[in-house]
Amino acid sequence: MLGPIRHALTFGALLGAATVGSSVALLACSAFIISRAGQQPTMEAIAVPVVGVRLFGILRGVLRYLERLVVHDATFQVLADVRVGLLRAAAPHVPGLWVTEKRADWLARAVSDVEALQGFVARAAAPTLAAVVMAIAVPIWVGSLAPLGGWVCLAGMLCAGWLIPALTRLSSRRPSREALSARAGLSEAALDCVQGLPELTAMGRQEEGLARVGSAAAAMAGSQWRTSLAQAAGAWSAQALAWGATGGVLWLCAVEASAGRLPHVMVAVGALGALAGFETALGLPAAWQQAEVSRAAADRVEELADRPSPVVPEGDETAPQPFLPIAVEGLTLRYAPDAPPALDGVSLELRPGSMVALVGASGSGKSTLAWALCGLLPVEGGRVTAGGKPQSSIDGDAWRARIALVSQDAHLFDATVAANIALGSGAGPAEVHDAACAAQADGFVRSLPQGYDTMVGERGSSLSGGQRRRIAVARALARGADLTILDEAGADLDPITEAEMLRSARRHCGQGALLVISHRPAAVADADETLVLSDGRITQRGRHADLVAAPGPYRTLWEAQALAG
Amino acid sequence: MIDKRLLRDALPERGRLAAAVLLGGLGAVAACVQWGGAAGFVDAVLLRGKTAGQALPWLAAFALAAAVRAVAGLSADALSAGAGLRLRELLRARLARRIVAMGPASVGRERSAELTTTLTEGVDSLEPAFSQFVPQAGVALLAPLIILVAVTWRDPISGAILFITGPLAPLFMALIGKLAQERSQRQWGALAVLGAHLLDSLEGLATLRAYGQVSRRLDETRAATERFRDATMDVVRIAFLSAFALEMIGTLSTALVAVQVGIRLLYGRMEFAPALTVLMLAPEFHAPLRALGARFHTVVSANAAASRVYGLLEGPEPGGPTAGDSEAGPGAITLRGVSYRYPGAEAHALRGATLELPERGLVAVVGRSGAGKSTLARLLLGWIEPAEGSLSRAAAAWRPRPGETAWLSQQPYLFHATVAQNLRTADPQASDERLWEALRMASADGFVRDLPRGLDTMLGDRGGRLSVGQAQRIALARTLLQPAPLVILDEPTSNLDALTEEAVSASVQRMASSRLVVVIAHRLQTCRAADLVVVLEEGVVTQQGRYDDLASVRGPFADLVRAAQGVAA
Repeated sequence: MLGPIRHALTFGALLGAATVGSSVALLACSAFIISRAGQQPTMEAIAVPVVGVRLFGILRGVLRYLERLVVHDATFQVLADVRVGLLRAAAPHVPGLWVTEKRADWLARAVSDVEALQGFVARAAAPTLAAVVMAIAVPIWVGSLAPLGGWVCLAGMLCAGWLIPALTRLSSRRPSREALSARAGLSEAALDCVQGLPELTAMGRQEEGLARVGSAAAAMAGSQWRTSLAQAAGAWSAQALAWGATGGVLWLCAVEASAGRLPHVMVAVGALGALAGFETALGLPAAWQQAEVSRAAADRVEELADRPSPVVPEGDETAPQPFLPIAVEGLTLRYAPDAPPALDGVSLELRPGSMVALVGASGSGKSTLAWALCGLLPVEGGRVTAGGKPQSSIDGDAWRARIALVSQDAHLFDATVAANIALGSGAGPAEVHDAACAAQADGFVRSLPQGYDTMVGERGSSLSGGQRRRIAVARALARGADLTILDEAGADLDPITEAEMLRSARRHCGQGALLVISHRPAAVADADETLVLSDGRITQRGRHADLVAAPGPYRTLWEAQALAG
Repeated sequence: MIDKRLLRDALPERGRLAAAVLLGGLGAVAACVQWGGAAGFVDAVLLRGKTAGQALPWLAAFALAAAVRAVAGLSADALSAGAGLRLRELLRARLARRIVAMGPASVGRERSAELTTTLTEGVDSLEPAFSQFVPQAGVALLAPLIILVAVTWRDPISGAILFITGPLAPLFMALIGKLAQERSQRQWGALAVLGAHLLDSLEGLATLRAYGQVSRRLDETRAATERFRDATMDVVRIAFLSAFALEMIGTLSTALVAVQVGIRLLYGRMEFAPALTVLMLAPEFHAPLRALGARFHTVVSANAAASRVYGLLEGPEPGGPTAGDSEAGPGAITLRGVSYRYPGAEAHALRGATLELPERGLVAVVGRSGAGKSTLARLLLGWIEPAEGSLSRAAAAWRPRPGETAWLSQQPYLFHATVAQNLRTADPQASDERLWEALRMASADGFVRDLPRGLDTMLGDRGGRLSVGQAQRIALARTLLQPAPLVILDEPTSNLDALTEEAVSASVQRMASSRLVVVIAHRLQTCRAADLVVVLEEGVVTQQGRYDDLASVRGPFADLVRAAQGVAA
């Protein structure tokens, strides 16, 4: 992920090293001025260092400012890549992913890991690079004054910047892992308490919800306390080491001076220069800590990106004209190699102007068939053709451009009603209005405060369930597709509204085909053909009148409802 | 600068925070000894002709003082971190309690995701202000004073320079900080939008794929992130500017000390040891303030989060459900002229409803969507209070006590817990047999038995791997378990299949033999079984009675029946 910002990162690290270099020079110059002045020479003897003090003082501030800007800008460049990369990696896996994996885990991972990755460049990568530069430069310079002092300096930097962070990391590995899972636990408890508040209130169990938030928060605080303790211990022992090394260099320079191998004025210069040079090494414990957190997050994001994507065979040909009829022959599909088939030898035909109904219990494969028709699930056996051309030879997006699906969990985006209806069709106001009328949505949309310009809220939260469905149906109808699939589109509607909606949807589709999935046989009684699906297999098919005439699963379903009449 | 409410809430931990500040002061004293020792050592070697060995005691003082500083610093950090974490959890507990007190009627309308974020990340971002900024602010007051005294004692002129340059830093910080605060509010807004945008994309990914909109959405995501980058870089430029100004003031002040001390040394007007001590202490004088400046960002983000957290905590008293206190015995529930209008809505959701609900039995409420069925349910649940009219039971006002009402919504929420724990929320004492019995009545026993760990299977996000229908059946079982005299079912079977529906209606009818079950019904079958059918039209009760009586006369209900039969024919 650091590839695109390699140069910015290197530049930032060099700026960081140069900043600390200025500090070293500044302190060394100051120490030289004082030491030399103590010997009371002429003014000229300290003229150059006096200029140096000013130069390096200003340089340090400017360099530090630039370093921060460069590194932060690089961070945000990476952030955009991470977010887009995550969506790109996830796209091929849906909707199959929602069947095999918990959606919440996945969403939490995606959102929080992206945040954790944000800190990597500025707080881990750049400081580490700068520290490496200084760990080479400073000991060499100190070594030129007192050879042994150079080694002391190097050893001190290695300890402060490498050994101590390693120990810190070892001791904080468990707490920081615990902190991550405790954070997930807190999010769940908070969700349970806020989103589940109606249930908790109805059951009079608000205290239980609060207690769960409390204990999840306490668990998180506990592991975070241990992490910050390890962090503080690491930082202060590194600081103590820096002072110890300064003392050591001071001593060794003094020994060199006593032996006459070093001018006396350089004693303080070497020691204070070394002290300033430790600045980058002292930042390393924090950098390592950040690296640890970021890496755990990066691993999880990469795991998802590297997961083999389910291959839906598609070609590069354009969709045939005419697209209909669509023929499905012996379609078989399973979500995992060892799972029972979700669809087992399903065949059907969708002709122009026809309406086919699909009924069956939940989990019988109705929605799976809808997704498979859209080419969004990998098929194990059988084939789907449109206008005589196999689906596998046609470009996936070109194929889907001819199909409009209202899935059972059709998502409304946090945008206006009009924008949601026009998604994927770019329909203008007139077409949006037509589609909304056909979906029986125009009436309630007009009564909304801003009509078609009303924001629907997160997941369409400002609308009722039935209203959300009708918007989703309008979105599908606005596409003017050859095949329109309505998966339980009337589930939250009363039977009258559902029937009215299906009738007008059919009118709107004209010569297009309509596939309606419903658990209410009554709603789809006027379909040209009705298929009864059970455990992925078609157990009955025919017209409504014929199906109710003979005993069988359909008649049982029908009678349960017909009792109402 | 820092939100006063945060400071006020830091009071419970003032002991620990004060101790951390005092330890910071001890560190400053140790710093004076440390650099005095180092200067003494150099003085002895450089000007007094001593060997390194002879000057060793000075170096020992340096080392000892350094050790004291490290230990004091570590202790102070540990104390502050502990205090910060404790304060954070105190605030989180208060906020959670507040949200619960607001009740489902008002929380449901606000964005629950936003509330959850405030409860988790929002409160989290207050903590660094407590653990890092507040104690450091104390140290930034105390430590420079100690160092100023030490410097003035060794060299009054240098002390005067520090005394003059010292206040410049906080002045600049305040000026720049004000600017940064406005920017930060914008950044928080951008961050929230960005987070919501990413989540919106992730949740709608399947829809995006089906509509061929994935690549377009990716472009939008990149654009949104770029906008965020611009907003953040604006803040960062200002925030770093304040660090830059602080650093420059520190550097210039040190340079001023170094140069004037150097010149006085040169002319023999000053001793070497105090000169070097003063030179080393000058940066230490500015360091605490610089550290404070480096932590200023914690205040900026805490203040932004604080306005959300305290906005909730100190907002108007929530008009949430008040737990009933009345010992009203059993009896029919009577509604007299009950009206309700949602805040901000133009029309009444319910108008002049007068009803008599029996003590036990099945009541079916029918009507087209938006007719006021859910509002009636909320009133019965006690989540909202009628604007006009009254609800009463046995002559006392109807205010359900906790657990007295059971409720199943259209989109029931399952907790992040096992199946058994979810069920036992309704009845903590229920035995496994009772749980299975409830599951069987909800037609959920079959698939629960097939789950990897049966009753002990963890359920995730709104039911995790369960289908919508399965989640709904578990929620129905949970509702069945709750021994409440009033049960309200909001379209309990809308996502179920006809066969399951049958089984479910049977359990509902069985339940109605011992308690009052109010069903917001879409099925005529339910109405047929009901002891009372209530027909709502645009917030008004237009008809009520038994199925046969209503179906045989002209009216809205007969229209409903005819239409449904028309559908069926």
